[in-house]
Amino acid sequence: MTSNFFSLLLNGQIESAYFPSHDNLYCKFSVVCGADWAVVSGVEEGITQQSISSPTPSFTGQTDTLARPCVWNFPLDLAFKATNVYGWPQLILAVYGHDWLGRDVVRGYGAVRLPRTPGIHTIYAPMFVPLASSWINGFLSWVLGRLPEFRDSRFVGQSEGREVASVRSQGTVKITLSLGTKDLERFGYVNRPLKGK
Amino acid sequence: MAEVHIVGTLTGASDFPSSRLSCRWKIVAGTGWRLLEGDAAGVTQVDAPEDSRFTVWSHPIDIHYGTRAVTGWPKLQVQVFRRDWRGRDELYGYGFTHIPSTPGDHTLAIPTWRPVLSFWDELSSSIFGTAAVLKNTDVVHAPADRFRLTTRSMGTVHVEVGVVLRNFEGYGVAM
Repeated sequence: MTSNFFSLLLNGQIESAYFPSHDNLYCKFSVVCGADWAVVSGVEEGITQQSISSPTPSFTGQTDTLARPCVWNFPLDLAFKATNVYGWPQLILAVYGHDWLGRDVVRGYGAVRLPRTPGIHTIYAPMFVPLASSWINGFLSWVLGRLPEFRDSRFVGQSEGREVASVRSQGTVKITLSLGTKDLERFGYVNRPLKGK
Repeated sequence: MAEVHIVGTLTGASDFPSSRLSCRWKIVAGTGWRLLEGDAAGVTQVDAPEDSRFTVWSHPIDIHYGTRAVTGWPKLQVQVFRRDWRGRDELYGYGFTHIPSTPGDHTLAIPTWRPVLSFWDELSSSIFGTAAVLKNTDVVHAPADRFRLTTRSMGTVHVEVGVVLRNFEGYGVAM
């Protein structure tokens, strides 16, 4: 029996964020994938609660770096079907906080490519914010309290046009997930080293 | 025709003397390899990180090759640039790595180097921000003669890449 598509099953969570200079954070996420892909189950985009960081620092994914985690523990349950490995799904993240006047400001964008192999994966996604394109814009945004943002957060999942972006990386988001595939081999694909027969 | 998918992320860089960096990258493959989908070259964002130990590019890579040969396996070539305080980009490192032929997820670290000239040329380039560059960057990934080329060792570029193969077994190829 041959299948005319293969499937990807994703169970996981957006666990927490580590931002050394920011607290009181929430996260918007969305899933983007190629034209030959479709989400067959689960929510493709969502928003977490707003979290105040834990008093206890923990490992952030970066060498010798401890920071206080903002725990979200937000579930991700998704199933995909596809006919082509090209366009393998990405999780797009945008972390927001509040400035001193209580306005929502972005604290980091990030993109995570889902693993290509079945198994349990822990991913620390580095986050970054765009910088003002000139010092005048930087001064204005400081005065007006409006930090630069990407018009569409999915920009961070694309390869084109990135050279014009000047960013400052800050913080990471921890994601744990388990990934399963169905019919990938039957489709002729090999995504693991072959075992000797 | 066998197919190769290269799906991953050009993560970033570490251990460079300055951390405000960007990267120009491309995948080079031999004759007999055909790019079916995706961008085989790109330029990353410029990151000025809060934590100066690690520069974040987080640049997506998603490439679909068709091939009739197993020779000329794709390589990733990177050119790292440093942005100085005047906003100019200066060459900061060259490097390459083979895309692994073993399917699965791989974490790669590319060691880099840059050409150096005489002491006086180095001094003037540090003042004017005009680092020596290669005329022909094929030297970076091709086994060409590097005799009498003097270089300085630079930092590491980090890549996270998944390789998915298709229809190799039908040709009796094990990777």
